[in-house]
Amino acid sequence: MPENSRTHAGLRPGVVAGLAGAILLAAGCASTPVAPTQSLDAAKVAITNAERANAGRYAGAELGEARQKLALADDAAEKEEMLEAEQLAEEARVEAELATARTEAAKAVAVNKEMGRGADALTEEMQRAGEQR
Amino acid sequence: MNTPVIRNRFSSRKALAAAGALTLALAGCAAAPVSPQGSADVRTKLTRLQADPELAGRAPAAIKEAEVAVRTAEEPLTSKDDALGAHRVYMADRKVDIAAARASTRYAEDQRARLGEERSRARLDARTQEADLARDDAIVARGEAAAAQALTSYAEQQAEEMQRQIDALQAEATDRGLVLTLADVLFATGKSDVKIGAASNLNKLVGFLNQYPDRKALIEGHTDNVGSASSNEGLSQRRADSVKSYLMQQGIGSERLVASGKGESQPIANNDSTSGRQQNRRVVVVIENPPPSTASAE
Repeated sequence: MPENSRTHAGLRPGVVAGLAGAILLAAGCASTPVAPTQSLDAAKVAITNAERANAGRYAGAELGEARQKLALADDAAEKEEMLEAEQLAEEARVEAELATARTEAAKAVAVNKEMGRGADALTEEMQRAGEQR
Repeated sequence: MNTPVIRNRFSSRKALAAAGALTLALAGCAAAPVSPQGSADVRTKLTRLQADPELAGRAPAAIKEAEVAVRTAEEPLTSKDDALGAHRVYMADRKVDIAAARASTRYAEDQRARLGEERSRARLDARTQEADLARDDAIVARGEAAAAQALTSYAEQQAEEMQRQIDALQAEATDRGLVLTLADVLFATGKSDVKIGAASNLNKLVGFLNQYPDRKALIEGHTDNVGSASSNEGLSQRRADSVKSYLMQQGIGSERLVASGKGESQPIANNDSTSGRQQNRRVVVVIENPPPSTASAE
């Protein structure tokens, strides 16, 4: 390495690389300034879908949790804690999706139960008809 | 000058300061990275779902998404990223739950399809059973009809047979029963023995009485008015007895036969003419009607 680099205004390339890495690393630990509107909207849509599927009846806890997380996400976005807002919005969305999925499962089981009752009634009817003969 | 690069790099104070800053920066993000807390539990949950035979194949896309999320959640992080780690674990956990819920839905739908098939089969069985029962009923009804018809035919046959016999007997159906009139030619004048030639008529009577064994026969002798009433009474009795013994000889039981002599008391023709007197000289066999009890084929 030439000696005159010592008197250079800048730093040696290796050091620059190291510092840049440090800055970048530091940057990764810091919050982003952009509001996560996409994530927040996605969360709102997911919650609406869950409500439409009647998740309030079959997966009330999950739906409530999703709404709460969305509220916290909005708060965080207002406080410009954007990374936290983004994460909360994502969590709200996935929680709402879970509410919908569990609602569908519960409905499916309920339908089968109803059908089973119907089949039982039919079987009963058949048995009675058979006995009458 | 050919001094080693390393010594030159770290011999600079600025370089040292920079290196120090780098170390400090690194130190701020703590020690060795580890898998976030809770990631092992999520992995276990996913593995259990993937091992469930009923659910594993029923939400492949959701399970794949969960798998990706769990792998992300398992990535080692330093304690500086605790919040990120917790977030990743949360996301992975919910995605596993979503996959399980979707698989359950599909499982229920598959069961419903099977239940539906069973119901259709049950309905079909019910209808088939009904059809079978209806068919059985029809068969029974036809059988009964055929049997009834057979009975009718038999009864009809019997009636026809009897009519034939009656016709052959040349008997007359009356309230008392069948009345068979055996003409005078049976007996020689003043005699009571049955003439040989008369046997055929009597044999028909025997045949009839054998065929209808529940019938009794009243044998009544009659005469014309020639001679005294008492002698005619005696003659008619003897003639009736003669017929009775003939029938008995042919195998008809005596308990079925009653012989009586009416003498000249019941003429059927005018005694003033020869033909009339001949007609009056007769033996009447009344084959009584059967007792009106059983509803037999007869």
